[in-house]
Amino acid sequence: MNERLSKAAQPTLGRFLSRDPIGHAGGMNLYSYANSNPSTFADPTGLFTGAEAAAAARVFIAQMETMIASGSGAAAAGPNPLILGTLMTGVIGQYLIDNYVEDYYSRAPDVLASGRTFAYVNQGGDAVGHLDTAMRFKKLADAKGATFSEPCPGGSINTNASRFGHTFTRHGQNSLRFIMMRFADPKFSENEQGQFLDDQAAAAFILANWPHNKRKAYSVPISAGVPARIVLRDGSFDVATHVLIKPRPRGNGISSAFPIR
Amino acid sequence: MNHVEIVANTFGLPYDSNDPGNQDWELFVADSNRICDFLDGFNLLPTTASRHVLIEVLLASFEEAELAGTLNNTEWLRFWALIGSEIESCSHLLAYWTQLPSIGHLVLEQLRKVGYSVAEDHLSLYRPR
Repeated sequence: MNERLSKAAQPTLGRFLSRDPIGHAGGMNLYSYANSNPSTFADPTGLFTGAEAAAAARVFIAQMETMIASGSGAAAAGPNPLILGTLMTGVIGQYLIDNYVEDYYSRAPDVLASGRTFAYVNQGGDAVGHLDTAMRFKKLADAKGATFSEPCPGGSINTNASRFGHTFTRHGQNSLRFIMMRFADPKFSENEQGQFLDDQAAAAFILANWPHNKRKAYSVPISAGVPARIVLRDGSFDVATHVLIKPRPRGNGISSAFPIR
Repeated sequence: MNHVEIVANTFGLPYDSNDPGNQDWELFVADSNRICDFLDGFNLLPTTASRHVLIEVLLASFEEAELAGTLNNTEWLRFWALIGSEIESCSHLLAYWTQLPSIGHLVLEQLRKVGYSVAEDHLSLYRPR
């Protein structure tokens, strides 16, 4: 058994013995190792980074293309839905979005015509891009009479910027691309950025901890039910311990809130 | 001295390198009452990156002004005149602000006037050639 930076893995089973530290953002199966294919995917830290992510993405794409073309494997496995975008998280997700999403648009109708459930999971793009992509896939599914499933965390709290300011555009579950862009920006000198991994849970937490008479920033210990992490400039992650909340100067809402350590 | 410190020192704004609030420093120091000061000092900043920091401070300050119903159109237009030559180099920064319900429509309006459109992912701008 190999001891890795983040997890202990058993390669022959393609399974970790502990939950993925990035939670559902790494895919729906928190115990999976490199898409359950340890022979072709490499994820030594449990967190895809850099060239390794691009290489893994290419393997993933090649496998999906083969499945789609041949109607075999998981893509044709009857009760198993075809899940595109399971790996759309972090650097690997960005690689997929940048290079292959448009290609999937053209392939999706053929997949949907076979009657399979089409599940789209995207935790890697920005919120607006994600919504746009999901809606485009849903239209394709509807046109073919196929089932569309979007197993992203849903909820009833409106997390838009009118209520939460820059919280979820900069630090939300779909903000990793924005965060990585900030690290690449020469004017941005900070070495870490907080990221919520469940916008609904974060929104509920912020609302519960927002005394409306506050005008200055304040921090509160983060609750166990609010998945969050600190994204470090080198691409690694750390545990968030608090949430810093910045009310607007006139108390008319929140300017920003984000995890800190 | 990093670019944020340069802006902080130029305008007497608080900055502590160990403050976790630095993640969104420009939002923390935004002040709709100091927009005129910030505009006056824009060209005093020595580096492109430090001017970009100030552009974000200014946009955050304009956002606060708009939300309070006090946005001054003269200052707003002066801001766009000042950053005219910087738009290309900070297009990603401006693209971000176009998606905000507070002043996104105002930013977009100015960008369209000078020939930019926002990319589908709202994180970059395109300029027709």
